[in-house]
Amino acid sequence: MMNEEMLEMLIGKFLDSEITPAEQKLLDAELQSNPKAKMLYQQWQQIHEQAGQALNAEVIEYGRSPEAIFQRAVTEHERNRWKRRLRPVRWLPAVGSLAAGLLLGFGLFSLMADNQTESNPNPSENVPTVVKGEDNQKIHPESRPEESGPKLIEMIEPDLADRPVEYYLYTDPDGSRYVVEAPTDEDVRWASYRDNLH
Amino acid sequence: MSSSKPKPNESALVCAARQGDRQAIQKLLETHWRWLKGLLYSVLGNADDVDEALQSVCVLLLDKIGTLKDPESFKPWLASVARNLALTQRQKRARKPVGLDEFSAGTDTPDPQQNVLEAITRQEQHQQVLQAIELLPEKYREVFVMKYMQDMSYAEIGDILNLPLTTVQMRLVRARRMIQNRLTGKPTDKVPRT
Repeated sequence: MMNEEMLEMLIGKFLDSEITPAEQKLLDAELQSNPKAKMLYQQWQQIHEQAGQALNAEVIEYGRSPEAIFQRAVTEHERNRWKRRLRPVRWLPAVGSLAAGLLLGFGLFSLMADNQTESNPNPSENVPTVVKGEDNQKIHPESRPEESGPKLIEMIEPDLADRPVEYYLYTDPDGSRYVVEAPTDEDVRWASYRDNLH
Repeated sequence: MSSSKPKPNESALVCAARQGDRQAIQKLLETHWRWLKGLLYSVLGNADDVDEALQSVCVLLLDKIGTLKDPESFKPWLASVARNLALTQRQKRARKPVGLDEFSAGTDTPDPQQNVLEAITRQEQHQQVLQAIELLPEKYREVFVMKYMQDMSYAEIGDILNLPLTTVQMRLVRARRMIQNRLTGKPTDKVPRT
């Protein structure tokens, strides 16, 4: 007598048309000699028929035709393609924000630069705050040196130290004092001064 | 598994489909329509949702067929696409799956002494069977439904679902046993591993 698992497997293979001739012989013999096996076979045969009919009615015969579904899918596919084409790229807002930020920053910078120029229209008049006299002593603008008339002075700003220029103190007839920057190429121009020089 | 190899004209169809030939895509879909529908049904468990899922599968196929590298693996690829899509759709629907035990605990359990024939003839036969199928664990339901939707061989089912032939065979046996137990009111088996 065959065990239940073997019997189920052979019945299953028979129902699924996968049984071999040798297995078919074994099954036939079991069904003839074992009433329980025959009953199981009948039950499974019933399930087999019912399942086929029920699934066909429920799934295959139900719903729209393949052609109808495919046509709708094609329409949806086309619509999706257009949507994808028209949809802005994801990084565009980020790039836009960055560009706006840069523009704003540049605008602010320009504005500030303009204000600075307006408050001091002649940048060449910026003066070194500390100069040295011939005696190598620091001359602070506040110190009001006693010299009158042109006097050679030397700038102590390191970045200007090696420039080919000379500096002079000049007191005009009204008593106002000026620092004069004189490039060594004899192209004399106003260097700088501050209010508190005089 | 030689019987599950695609026919030569199917490979040609897949190649044409990859080039964007819509008629080829439609032909391929029609060829595999029944089992595809069965597979979606086995995941969704509801015939009403199958058409919507099928349409989504078609759209995905139109979009992605160009990415299929091997024309001979079209069926497993299609099955994978369809299953994933159905699972996503089921998640969106947030439908809770009903376990077999829950089903068995119902009040309409027939008398265990009755045989299948009596039980089926007394009640709505199809609905009973369908309910029993619906309550199979998914991996058994998938194989069972595909078997009955297109009368596929074990090899074909194994090829599509990427399962060994013996696994397909055992899942069918166990699915039938679970359906039988359900219909006769016997206690249900624990879900086996295969």
